[in-house]
Amino acid sequence: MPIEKSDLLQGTLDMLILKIVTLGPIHGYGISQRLRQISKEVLLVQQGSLYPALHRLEKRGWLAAEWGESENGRQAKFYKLSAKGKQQLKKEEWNWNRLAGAVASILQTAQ
Amino acid sequence: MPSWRFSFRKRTLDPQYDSELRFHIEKLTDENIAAGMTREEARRRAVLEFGGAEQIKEELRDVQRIPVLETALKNFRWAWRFIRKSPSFSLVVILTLALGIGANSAVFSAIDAVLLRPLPYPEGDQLMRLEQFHRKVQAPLGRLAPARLEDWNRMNSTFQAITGYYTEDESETSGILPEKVTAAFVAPRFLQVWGVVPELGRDFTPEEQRWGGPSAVLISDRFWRNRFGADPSVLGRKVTLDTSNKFSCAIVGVMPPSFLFPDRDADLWIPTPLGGPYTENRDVTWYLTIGRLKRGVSLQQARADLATVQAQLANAYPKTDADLGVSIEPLKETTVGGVRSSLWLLFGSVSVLLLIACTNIVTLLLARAQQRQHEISVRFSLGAPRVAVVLQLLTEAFVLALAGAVLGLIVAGAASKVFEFLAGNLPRVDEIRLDARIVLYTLICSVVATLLCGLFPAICSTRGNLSNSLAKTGRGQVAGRYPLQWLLVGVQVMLAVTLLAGGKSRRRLCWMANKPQTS
Repeated sequence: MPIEKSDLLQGTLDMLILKIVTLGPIHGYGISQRLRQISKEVLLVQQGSLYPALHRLEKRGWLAAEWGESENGRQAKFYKLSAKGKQQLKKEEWNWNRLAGAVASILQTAQ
Repeated sequence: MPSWRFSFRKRTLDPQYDSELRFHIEKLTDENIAAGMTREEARRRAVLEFGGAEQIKEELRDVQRIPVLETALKNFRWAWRFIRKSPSFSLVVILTLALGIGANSAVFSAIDAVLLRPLPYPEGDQLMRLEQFHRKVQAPLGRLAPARLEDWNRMNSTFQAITGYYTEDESETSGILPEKVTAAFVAPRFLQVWGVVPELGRDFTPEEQRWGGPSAVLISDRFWRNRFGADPSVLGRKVTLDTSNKFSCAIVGVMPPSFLFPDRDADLWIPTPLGGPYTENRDVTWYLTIGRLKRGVSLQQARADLATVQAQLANAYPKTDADLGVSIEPLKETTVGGVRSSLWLLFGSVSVLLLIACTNIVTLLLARAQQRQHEISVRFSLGAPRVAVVLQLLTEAFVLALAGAVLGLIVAGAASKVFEFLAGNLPRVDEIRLDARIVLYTLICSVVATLLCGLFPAICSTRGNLSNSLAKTGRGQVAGRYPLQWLLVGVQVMLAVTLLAGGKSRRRLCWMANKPQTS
């Protein structure tokens, strides 16, 4: 069953976007495709959540954006990770892993 | 979207949003065509799938918005909560600032009234004090003979009018009990020079200013109220002066309460008639001399002009006028010049006092921020940008400073009484009062105090690795955390020493101001 954005933890989408963008400059459409493919159709991110999130991250300085030509010759806005964003991603990954580990160990012990 | 929300950069980015979103829709369309749909169908499905583009655009605009008012209100609410949560801490800070800001505003109100404002007469900057001096002896003779005053007034081309006066203490004996009054004997054109008209009645007529003409007197508002009970039919009644030789004069007018010249004790203004037997003597020294410059005439022009006039008089009357020179100074300068440096020094001292108060508060706020490290870290980890946290901490400092400033205004409001008590003979002391300028100054003080006290602790406490401080479970040790706090203590000691050194000069001011002024 696909998980929609409302079910995602607040802040998790930001982390996922930062992670996808580490692979290289990419536009919004590409990000939504990658999220879907990599999560094997589990995470379906609505455009209504994706674009505000992208702009928020850009405004915070975690993403850098520039306009460029896409693979089909049209103008598109490409996002890439800034140095600040890289740090933030590291921090968020660390926090996430800690949380996930904690939740997992609770689930295991309570079995 | 509440419409009262202030927005910046609202629409300028719209074309960019459009093309970014359009690109996404086009890619979805391409995808649908590849899946075998017709172009129209593919486009329709893509738009459907994409959802409300307008709504997304509105959200993108929201990201760029800085909701100034909303954030400010929220910060103020939090600040208020913070103050209520720790009343004793807040009270200490507010009282400290109230003293610091209050003392500062009080002295500023004195500086404003005494030094900065023009004299309380219409176009008071045109008023000049003129003196004659002996060129060879270099001793000021100061006071002018009536004949020479008339010569100066007639022959110059830079003054609208020149007049003079001298004061004498008299007994006024028209009432049941004699009363001691200060009478100013004035040369012609007296009110014309001041640019003031009587509140009741009229100025002297030319006849009243001539030898043998009818007697006349203008009385002060205070004398009118005390002696005549503010009787509106006082005009025409007689005042009798009985010190050296008894004479009566008829009241022709009452001056406005703001007219306090030569000083606030003056009750009567009586014309000294021209053409009397003694007024032709060029050796007498009677009048202190005041003139009003013509519009647009500079002090240098007036000095050159009067020097020429006096040179002509030296030719005409070599015996009496040959060695005389003329000095001209702005009346304001001769009135307040003596206390200028003392007042600025006092202002410097209270500013140092405010600085000491601020460093104290910086130390308090730093200690306080230490306790709140956890709260600040939590806020960071929830995604608050540093600027927002700093702004919120500054708002807290500002609310404290504002409360201090309001209390300080009460202190400053009492300042005029304090100055009258401590420095009763300070010139223009009765013009010191609280007004919009002082309120504005106090507000500026509170903003400066906010930045001085708040900025540094706010920046310090939002620095550093937040995930570390979040992970830390134990309480941080306060002692030794900030070598800075030692620096602050050092600064305070330094300021206190400066203040002590300045204290000596402040005592001198009080002594000077209490000394009876001789004009």
